[in-house]
Amino acid sequence: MEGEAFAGSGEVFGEVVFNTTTFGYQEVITDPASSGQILTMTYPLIGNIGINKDSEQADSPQIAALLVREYSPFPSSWLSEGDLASYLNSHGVLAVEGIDTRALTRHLSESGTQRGVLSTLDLNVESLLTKLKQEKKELDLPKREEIQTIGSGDYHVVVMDFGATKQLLASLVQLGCRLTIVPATASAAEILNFSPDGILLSSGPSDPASFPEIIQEVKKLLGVKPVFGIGFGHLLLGLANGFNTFKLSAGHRGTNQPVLDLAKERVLVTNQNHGYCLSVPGIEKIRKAREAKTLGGSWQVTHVNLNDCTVEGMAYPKGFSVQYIPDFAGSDFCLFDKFRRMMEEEAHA
Amino acid sequence: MPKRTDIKSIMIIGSGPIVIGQACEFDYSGSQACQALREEGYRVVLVNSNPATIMTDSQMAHATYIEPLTVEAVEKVIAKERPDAILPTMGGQTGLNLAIKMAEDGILDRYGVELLGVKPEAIAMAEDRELFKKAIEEIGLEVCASAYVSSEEEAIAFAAKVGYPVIVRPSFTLGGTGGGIAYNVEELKELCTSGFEASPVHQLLIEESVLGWKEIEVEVMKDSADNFIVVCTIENFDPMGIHTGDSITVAPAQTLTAKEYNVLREASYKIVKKIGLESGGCNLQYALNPKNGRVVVIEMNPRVSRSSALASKATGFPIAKIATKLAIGYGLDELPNDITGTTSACCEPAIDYCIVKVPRFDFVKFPGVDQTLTTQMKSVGEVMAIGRTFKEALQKALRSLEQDRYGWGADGEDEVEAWEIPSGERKGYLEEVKRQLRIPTPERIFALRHALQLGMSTSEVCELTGIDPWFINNLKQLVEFEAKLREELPSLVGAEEGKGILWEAKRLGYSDRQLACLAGNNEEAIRSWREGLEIKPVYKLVDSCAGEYHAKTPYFYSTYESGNEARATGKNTVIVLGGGPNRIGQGIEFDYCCVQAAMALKAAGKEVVMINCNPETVSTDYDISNRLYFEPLTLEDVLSICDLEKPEGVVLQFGGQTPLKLALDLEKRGIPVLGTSPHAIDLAEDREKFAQVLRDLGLKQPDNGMASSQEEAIEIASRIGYPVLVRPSYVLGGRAMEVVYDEAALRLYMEQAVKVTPDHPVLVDKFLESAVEVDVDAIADGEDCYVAGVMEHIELAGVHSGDSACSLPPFSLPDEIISEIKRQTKMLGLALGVKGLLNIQFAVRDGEVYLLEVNPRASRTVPFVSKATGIPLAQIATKIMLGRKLSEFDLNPPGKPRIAVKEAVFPFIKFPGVDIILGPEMRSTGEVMGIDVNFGMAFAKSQMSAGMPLPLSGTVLLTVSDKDKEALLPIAQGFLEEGFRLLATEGTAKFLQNHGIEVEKVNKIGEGRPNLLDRIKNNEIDLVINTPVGKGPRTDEYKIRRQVIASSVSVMTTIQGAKAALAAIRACKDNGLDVKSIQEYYESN
Repeated sequence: MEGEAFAGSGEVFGEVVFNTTTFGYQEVITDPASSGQILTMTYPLIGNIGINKDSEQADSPQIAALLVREYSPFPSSWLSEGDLASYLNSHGVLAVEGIDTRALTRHLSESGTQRGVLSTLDLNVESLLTKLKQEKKELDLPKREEIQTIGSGDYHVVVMDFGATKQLLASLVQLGCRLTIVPATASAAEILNFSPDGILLSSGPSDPASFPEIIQEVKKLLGVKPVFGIGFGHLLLGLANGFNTFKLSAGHRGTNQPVLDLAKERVLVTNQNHGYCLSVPGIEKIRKAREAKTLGGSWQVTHVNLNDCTVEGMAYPKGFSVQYIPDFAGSDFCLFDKFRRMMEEEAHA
Repeated sequence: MPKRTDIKSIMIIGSGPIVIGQACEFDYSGSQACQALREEGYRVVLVNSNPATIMTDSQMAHATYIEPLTVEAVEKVIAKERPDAILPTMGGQTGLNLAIKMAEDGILDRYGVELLGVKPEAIAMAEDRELFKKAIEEIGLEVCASAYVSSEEEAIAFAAKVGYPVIVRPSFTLGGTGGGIAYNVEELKELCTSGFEASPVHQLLIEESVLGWKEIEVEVMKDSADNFIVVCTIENFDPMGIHTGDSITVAPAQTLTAKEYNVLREASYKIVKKIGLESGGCNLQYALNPKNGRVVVIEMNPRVSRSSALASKATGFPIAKIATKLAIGYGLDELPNDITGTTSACCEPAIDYCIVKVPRFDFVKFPGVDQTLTTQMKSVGEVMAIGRTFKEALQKALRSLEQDRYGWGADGEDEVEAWEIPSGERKGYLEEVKRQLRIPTPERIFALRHALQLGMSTSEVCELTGIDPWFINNLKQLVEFEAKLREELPSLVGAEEGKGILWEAKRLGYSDRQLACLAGNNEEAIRSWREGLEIKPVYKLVDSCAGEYHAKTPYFYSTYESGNEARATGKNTVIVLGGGPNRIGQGIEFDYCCVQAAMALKAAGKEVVMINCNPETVSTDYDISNRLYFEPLTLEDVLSICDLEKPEGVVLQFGGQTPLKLALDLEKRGIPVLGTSPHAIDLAEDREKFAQVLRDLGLKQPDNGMASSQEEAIEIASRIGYPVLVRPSYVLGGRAMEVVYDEAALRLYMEQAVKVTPDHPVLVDKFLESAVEVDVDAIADGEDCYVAGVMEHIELAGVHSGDSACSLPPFSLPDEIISEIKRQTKMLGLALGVKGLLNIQFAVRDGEVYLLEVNPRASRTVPFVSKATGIPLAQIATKIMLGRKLSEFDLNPPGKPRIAVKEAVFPFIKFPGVDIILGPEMRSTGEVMGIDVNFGMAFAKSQMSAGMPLPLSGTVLLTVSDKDKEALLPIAQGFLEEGFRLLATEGTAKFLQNHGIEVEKVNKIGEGRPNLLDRIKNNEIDLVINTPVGKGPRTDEYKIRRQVIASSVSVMTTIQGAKAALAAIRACKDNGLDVKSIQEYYESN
């Protein structure tokens, strides 16, 4: 496919994915869970509202490159602090417009997401394909060197940072948490040393199954302290509990994923940004989301995707997790509340 | 939750006649609701007075009542049908109001009928200004600050608090008399003076102004388990201050951040919950301050609305259908998304294109009307276009309007081109353009182009218009590209080097016609150049999921991209061309015909392709056809689809004038036109050729002539005698048509109303005063011709057939005249070689039949005739077009004898100051039908349905021409017997008194006061019988008829009409209103 670069230049490799969000391209671009992706926005007009500090989920864009149908170089929003092209340019992120993003999306949804290469240097398809085949895919989690503490609330939460978004951290602080944020490589012992009230496994990019050392550490936390997993953290908690993960053909990326909360029998319209999913025994037989209630024993499926009946939430003896990106300030306050109650019980135990 | 089994039978109330603000979108919602309920096994009872709807087709509901939408009539239906529940949210404000009224009156309780989806308390809260304000504030949201004041000091204090400008609305005045906008304290003082004077209670509502703020709409759905989704957001291109129905709107919203969107989403959920919408669809409107993001809630409609129809078409999400299923108990999570078939209906649609809706106005029908767009809706229809960018969608939408625009200007249709204006005159022109930007009218969108071409900056334009800079900057990109095209295109046409710029132009939505204009070439040359370069549109799917899942529903739009998703089979395909935007004279009737045609074609095993651009319609529902193309109906767009679909035929007869215009061009390119040949269509429309046909058949036409100058017109008129009917030859549908009574009036018309040239002559016809006009619908198959309906007009001759009440069968014509009319119809149908539908207008005077007009296509009355007779005309005509013969069909109307009366409904109330006399120019927006076994009752019902019930007592004013006086006697006597008091003007009074009829004389205009106009104005008169004396306008009768329309008094303009009114009043008094479903009428024995 061809288009015209409106920011950055060079040659980048990455997983080509699509995201169906209409509002909030900046949130997706800066979400650490998008790390390394060649991101296609299915909504064709991108740049309309510029960028602003408030929407940023990390200090810089996380994607490898951006593909859009039409870039709007004239942001219009009272919140806008600059235009998207300059922002991407200043971080050296390649962005291309004029792409038939729908054709690309149809291709990805039919054949699955795949590795791709984007270049402003080499316009020869054959040569690019050769380079793509030789490219070594590296799995990496965002690098956090030091331990950070933020907030001053009553609940002390250790956050294992696999790519936590700013929004997640900010809302936890606002809800009364004192956070100790530790690198992905932190050991269970280190974590427990902080004597937290609870542990949060953050969201992040890719598949935690590729990180067996981390799984081993999380296993040691099971049943010791309340654990809450989100996104990557949800998969990790599942792996630690002995389940597997698998790659979704096209991923779940967008703000319109319908998720059934099995306990409340209510549907949540959720924001998601992930390509892997948790597999639990029996889920493959589920045709209607509600039937997932019958699964499990010591564990339980709490949330199911209405579209494809994949697992969206799990409950374990001393922990729970959701696959989607919860909005604690809005409809997902109850998840935080559940975590808080577990922490309180823990404190009184 | 599963569906409810405690209810078995559900009633749906339709929205009645098409009026401004309530158009065929409610046929769309009602039809979906009927189908959804049937699918679930409920018995469906439908009441709607509008026969032109799909929903009133006898297959849609189990019992279909085409009866007045009044409490009395609907209660009778309830008493008879005993439905368990009413779904009140599908029939617009009319349906909702009626349901609520019946709930309030205790009727629903009495019959144990439940309201589904929404309860009266919720509606009260949504509609009562104070209750709504309180509710919104209780959930922590804001409405516009406002206060009632009764002194100037209070007003000034409040304005100081909320800041200027403020809106001043006097309490209890009609149409906002005495109110306005105050930008400063001085203006506020002035408005206080006029406002307090205007308000009978000496009270003003002072409201914070949100003029110029962004207007955002959110369409949501909720089920009874509180599952909630946003179906679509809509951003108005025009800011607050212009009714959303009159605004250009864009979906999804373009300038919201994720946070702002979430605020609106959250607010919508809270409001819907607070107001108490149990389940269904709902429209919310917000104003957003572009400077600080402050959100103010404007209103909430707890029902399916015009915007929900738009949102349905914009996303593919069938709001009305889903709302219906939610109302009967299902949860959103239990319903599938029809488009994908695999995903859930609880999934918020994701859009990967841009939608632009542009309203269609018809001010040309209402000379003198103020065209300024305000909070009062004035548009009569709309188009929607889909593109991958705003620019592309806007250009497509503008050429969809069918107002001779082929995009956003650059089409040779502007009177002045800004870039051509000599620099010395630019300044003056710029001032004119600025004025056009400041005062919003339908033309403002085109003025924007001139403004930008004259070098106005985005910020200046935004300042004057209040339009968001994002939109203006997009337009600026078009202006810049247009300049480039104008420079480079002329030398590139036909050349390979032009491929790049041509591709870019097509991607920006430029039509071949625009490019031809910019290149100084013709459209055909551009097309062959483009096609030679293989630059052709691809078709993308509207799939509700932005390509994330495979969609099975074939709903397409064109764009210029690399990936084509079209699913043409090239086999067995028939294309039906729709009617485009609703306008006066071409509305829902044609959509009805198109849908019927699609159904008939499907039944005949064809793959049906529908092309249309009107989002309010049933025809653009994706399950009506096998493939739906939501596209403009221009030659270029239609040819592109033909190129892809390779149809075995195209059906043009059903979409009104729109598709017919393409007939010859399509035929020229070898695309088979089904049914009546383009040649025959031309024959009927070409005056000379047609006159020859009539001469050959020995049929009479009123004397006529064609004038290419004023002198010639005067010469013809004096030859054939006044009055004459004059009209330009190049427009159809009654535009600029007038009856003139003398030479002075003819001169005035020739000077002011038309531009007469040898190329555009004016037609002059003898006007047959006091004739009875007759409409006929027929079907011919080349060998035979079936006359389906003969309709006698009740209004006087000279009133456009679309504006006249009519009766089927005729109520006063002698049998031999009817036979003669049928004979002539058959002769013409065969002589013209019609294959399909045919509509003829006749005039009958003194036992003589004259032919006025022939239209070899579906007419406005096809649905009316079909409902009245029970014969599906459009379906049969479609089958005839496929080669079947009339002899293969049973054409005997089923069931018992009955009479149906059609009555027109007018929009005058929306257009204060407009001349409201009826004439040859059609001005009604909609129609109703009254049906009964008795003519009087059918007529009475038609008047009730039109909102003008005949009086059962009171005073009748009589003023008739001399030749009608004799015939008036028994009528006057009859009114006396019914207990009416009679008033008459001198001549009439004297005549009646001489015949022993008790009547009181009333002053004519100019005979001293109070005169009859004063009496009408003072509500002293309940019915007027006024037959023309033949002196034409500017006379008393003209003033009388104008006043009765203004005062909503029933008027009869023919003796036949007066008889009809008397019969109707007698029927009402003797028998009372009785209701019967059309299925009962159709039942044999």
